[in-house]
Amino acid sequence: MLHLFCVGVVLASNFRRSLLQNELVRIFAPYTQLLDFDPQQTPYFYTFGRPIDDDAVFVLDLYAKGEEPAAGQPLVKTVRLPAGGSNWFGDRQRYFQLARLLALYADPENENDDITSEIARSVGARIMRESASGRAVLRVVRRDTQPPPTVPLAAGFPEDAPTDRAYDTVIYEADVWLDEDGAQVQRRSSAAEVAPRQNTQRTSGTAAPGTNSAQP
Amino acid sequence: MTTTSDGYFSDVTAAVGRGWNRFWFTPADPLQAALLRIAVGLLAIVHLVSLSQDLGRWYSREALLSPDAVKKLLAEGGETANYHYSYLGNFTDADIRYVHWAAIAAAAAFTLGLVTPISGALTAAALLAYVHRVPQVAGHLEPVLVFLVLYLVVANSGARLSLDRRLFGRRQQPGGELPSTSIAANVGLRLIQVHLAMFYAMMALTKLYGDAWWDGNAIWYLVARTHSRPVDFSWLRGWGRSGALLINFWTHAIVYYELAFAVLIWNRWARPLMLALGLIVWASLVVATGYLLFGLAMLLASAAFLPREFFAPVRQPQLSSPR
Repeated sequence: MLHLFCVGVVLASNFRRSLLQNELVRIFAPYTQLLDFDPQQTPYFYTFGRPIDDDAVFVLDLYAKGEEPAAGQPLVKTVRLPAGGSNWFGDRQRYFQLARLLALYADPENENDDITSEIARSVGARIMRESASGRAVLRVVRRDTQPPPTVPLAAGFPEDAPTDRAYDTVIYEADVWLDEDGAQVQRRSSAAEVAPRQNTQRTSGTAAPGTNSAQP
Repeated sequence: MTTTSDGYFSDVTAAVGRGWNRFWFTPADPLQAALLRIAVGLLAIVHLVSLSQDLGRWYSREALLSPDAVKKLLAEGGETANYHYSYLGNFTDADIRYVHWAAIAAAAAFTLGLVTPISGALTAAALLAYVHRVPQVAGHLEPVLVFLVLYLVVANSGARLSLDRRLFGRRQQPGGELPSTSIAANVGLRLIQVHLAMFYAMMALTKLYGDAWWDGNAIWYLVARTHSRPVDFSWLRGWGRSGALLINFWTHAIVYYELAFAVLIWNRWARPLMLALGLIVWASLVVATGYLLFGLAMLLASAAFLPREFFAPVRQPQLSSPR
């Protein structure tokens, strides 16, 4: 009975919470989080059609020397994450989730440099270790979706090529390098300068029917 | 008046008590739980094997998100990292495959019904270790898979179709008789049923926070994601209004089904319809999202609602299951 009450409370509080629900979730956390009865990190809505729900990927340009700026040395290689894998078993989804998380906190409305820097530092360090590189330029590139069938495309977005570069936006860009203190990160520019946030879909010629910009 | 209200409350209390006892404590055949154990165990094995690709890159000490980075991200989100314990962060890229294969072995033992309570607990612990190592990228499947494994341990699912029964059963039950009905089997299946109904309600209510599920375009935004979609449905855009109507219907059907499931699954007349519709709804969601294992897990959990007649071909005539 107590178990089901705990589960019921955390499931009912999955996306938004009242003060009371927040307190209860906090009290139950040692039990419900430990046994994963509280799936609060998991978006069971899959998408709300917002730009932050679109696919995002990591693109890392790798350079040999950590102590020299990227502009002053030749590119060793470019790594895209995910690379390969299947869309049926979740292996690619993990990369999309992490890239979306970084993109979310790079967004001016939710901007949190501590979170974006931590992810960029950790991802950059791992990929540099894998390829014996000393420096990387890490980018999170979002692929905007085409609008729904009855909504015309905005100018510049090809109808028959939804993977065209016009649909890609760099959401976050940072230099990551290794020195004697470990991995360091320096963001290149703010998200506002890189990609102005759009309330409606960037690819839409008009707003989608029923679209309400006041999203939770 | 007092006498009337006293009678009312005593009647209600007695009726609720009888219903409660019948719901939870009617002995049931462990066969249904045993069949579920095999299916859930196989699903756990497939899930764990699917994690093998990029295992070190995601879960080792030097992973894409280091244990320290995970703690910092959890702290930034206001969570207490202590509730996300995982042993995986202690292993290097080279060593982690050994504990990974140990996890798969535990899931295989659970599937076969070998020391089922222990192998089930170990399987759940292993699944949780992957979730807690990097909760930021945990999938939709794990919260369902973990509760299924735990409840099937409670349900004494090793009592039938198991190595436990083959190796130890005859000693415990002279003559090799089939195990009798048990309250534990009923409690385990009931826990799955109640948890699943609440889970459906959560999924439906979460969707109702966003406009895309109200205006009928959510499925479009899923199938239009060119990196992550498993099947290309973007040709629906060429259908214009007809394509829009089809997308709207698809989107609404999913939300209405999830909303209805939590309530109608308890009605004996609606239950077969809800279970049959589930096959269509989950097949459509899997091709839109690619969450194949999650869809299978939800269908397997729904099998806890199947009537006892469904298992007639393998059931002994004297046994019963919860209705």
